[in-house]
Amino acid sequence: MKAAIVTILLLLGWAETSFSQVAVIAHKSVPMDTIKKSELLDFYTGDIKKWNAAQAVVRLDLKARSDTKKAFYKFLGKSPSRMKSIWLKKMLSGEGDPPLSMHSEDALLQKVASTPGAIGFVSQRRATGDVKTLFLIEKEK
Amino acid sequence: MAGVHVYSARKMAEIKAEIDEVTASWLPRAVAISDINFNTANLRIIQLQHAFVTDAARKQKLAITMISLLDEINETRDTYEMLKASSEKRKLYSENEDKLYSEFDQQWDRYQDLSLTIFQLIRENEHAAAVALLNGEAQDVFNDLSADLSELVSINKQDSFDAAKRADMTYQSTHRIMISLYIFTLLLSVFIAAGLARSIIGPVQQLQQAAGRVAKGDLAVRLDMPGKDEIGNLAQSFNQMTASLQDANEKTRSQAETLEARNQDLGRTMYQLKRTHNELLMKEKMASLGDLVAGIAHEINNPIGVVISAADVSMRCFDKIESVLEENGATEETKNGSLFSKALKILKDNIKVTSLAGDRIATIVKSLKNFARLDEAEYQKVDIHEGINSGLTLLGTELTNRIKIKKEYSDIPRIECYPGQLNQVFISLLRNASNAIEGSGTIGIKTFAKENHIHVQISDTGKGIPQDRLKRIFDFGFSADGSRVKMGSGLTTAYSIIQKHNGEIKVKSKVGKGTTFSIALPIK
Repeated sequence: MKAAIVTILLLLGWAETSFSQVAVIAHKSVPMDTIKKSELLDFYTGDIKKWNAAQAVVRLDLKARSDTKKAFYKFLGKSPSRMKSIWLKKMLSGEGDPPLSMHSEDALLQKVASTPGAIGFVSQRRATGDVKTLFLIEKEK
Repeated sequence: MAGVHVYSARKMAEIKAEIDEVTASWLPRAVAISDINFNTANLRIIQLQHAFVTDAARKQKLAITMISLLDEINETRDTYEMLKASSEKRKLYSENEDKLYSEFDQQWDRYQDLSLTIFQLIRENEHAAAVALLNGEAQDVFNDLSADLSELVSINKQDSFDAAKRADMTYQSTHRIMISLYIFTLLLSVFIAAGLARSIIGPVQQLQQAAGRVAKGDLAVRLDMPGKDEIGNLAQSFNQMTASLQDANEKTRSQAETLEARNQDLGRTMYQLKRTHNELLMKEKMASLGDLVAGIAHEINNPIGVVISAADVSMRCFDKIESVLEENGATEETKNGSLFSKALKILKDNIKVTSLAGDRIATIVKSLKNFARLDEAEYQKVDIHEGINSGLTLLGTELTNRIKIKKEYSDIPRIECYPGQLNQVFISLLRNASNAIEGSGTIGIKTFAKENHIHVQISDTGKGIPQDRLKRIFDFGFSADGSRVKMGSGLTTAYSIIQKHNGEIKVKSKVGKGTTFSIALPIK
């Protein structure tokens, strides 16, 4: 009976994952409540480095390959390897460092919650009240 | 031929498609991957230099080079991905290539990840760690991605070759098939031409030959071509034409024959008309001559009768005078040798001469009357010797002493004839004979009876008539030169008179020897 419930839950969970969305999250202090795709791209390429005059953008990335990461970069229109080329160029030209790579979504979530000006992405189900969800990206199956 | 061209056009399109595949997808993709491979390798070399170089300016320069290399790599990747998208649509992009490219993408992502770490280490002056990472994990990842790229290049090259090979094979097979098709088309053309020749040229030749025969006058020629096509129609028209021609020809020929016959009739009629006219003329002439001769003869006969009887009376009177003189004895005045006796002798001679001349005149008048036969019925039985003799008498002065007349008269029966006309014939022939003789000569007149015919031959020892003239001697209007035939149409008239008597007149002559006219007249 327990096994059956677990199976059902797992199936539900899988189903939830399959149809879930990627949440673009930010520290609660950021001055934006929503974000547009172009603004998000500018932040991640490093072209725009500040939320406003006072607050710098702290970008966060997931180190490992995952559906969430794939969906996020696909939404931005840049594959991870392309995005890395941009970061490499910025770094070599001294325009800035690449985003911080986090080892897990939890770690990323915590980092966003604890770092003012931070922006990142996690599965929608992981997003908590500790962070501000700026945008929801439909994750493909 | 059209088929060959359609086929070749289709095959050319296939070849073009194959070549397009190569030029539009595989080849540029191979080039793009090759470029990526080259630039990533360059990037790694420069990255290594960058790690070891300490000079800041130099480091900066290398960094700029790396940026441009990264730009180039991304541009080339854009190109490749564009080609990939269009090739996928045309199903010219293999799963294998897709797998390899996504592997490369992941490896490249990983390598750039490592590079970011390395640059951070370098920036923090941890050169040893940076170099270690560069030569360690980065080296492995780079080798992997490089291998992927190499394989991609080789795949694309192979695909290019395959496509090129396919194009070549298509070309070769098309070439073979086209040559076969051309040969086939050629053979087909020859076959069709032969068929056409049989169906068109054959009949046309037949037609030509038939036309040739028609041109040579063979109108019986007909073509046996029962087809309903143009040739058949042509043959039918040709047959109609020859039939019409034949009809027309028949008609023309019969008309020509009729015309010819009519012409001959006309010729005969004309001839007869001329002859009749001639005869009429002659008759008229003879009639008027006859009237004249009759008048003259009558007029002469009376005074001549008077002259002859007067001479006769004078002679008897003279005889009486002479006997009275002899009885009474001669006187001085009447003695022989006296003027008186001489006068008597002259008187006696004159009476004799007058008597003789009167007789002669009477004879001539008689001959003249006999010749013209004016005082006799036209058609009667006569002795033709009389006519001949009359003619000779009338020609007396012409014959003179230079020509000897040799008569060989046989005992021939009297014949029924128009004596006046026959006499004209005899006098014509006798005059001809006389004229033919230059100087002295002989005219032979021979008569005899044979096979119900009497024959009269009048020959001369004259100069003769040349052969070419001999043929036309009886022709109407013939007139030989003056020395031989002076009478003009005399012989023609003679011919027509003899014809009228159902007789025959022939001539034989030898130049220098003489001429003989032979006349045969039926006894009854």
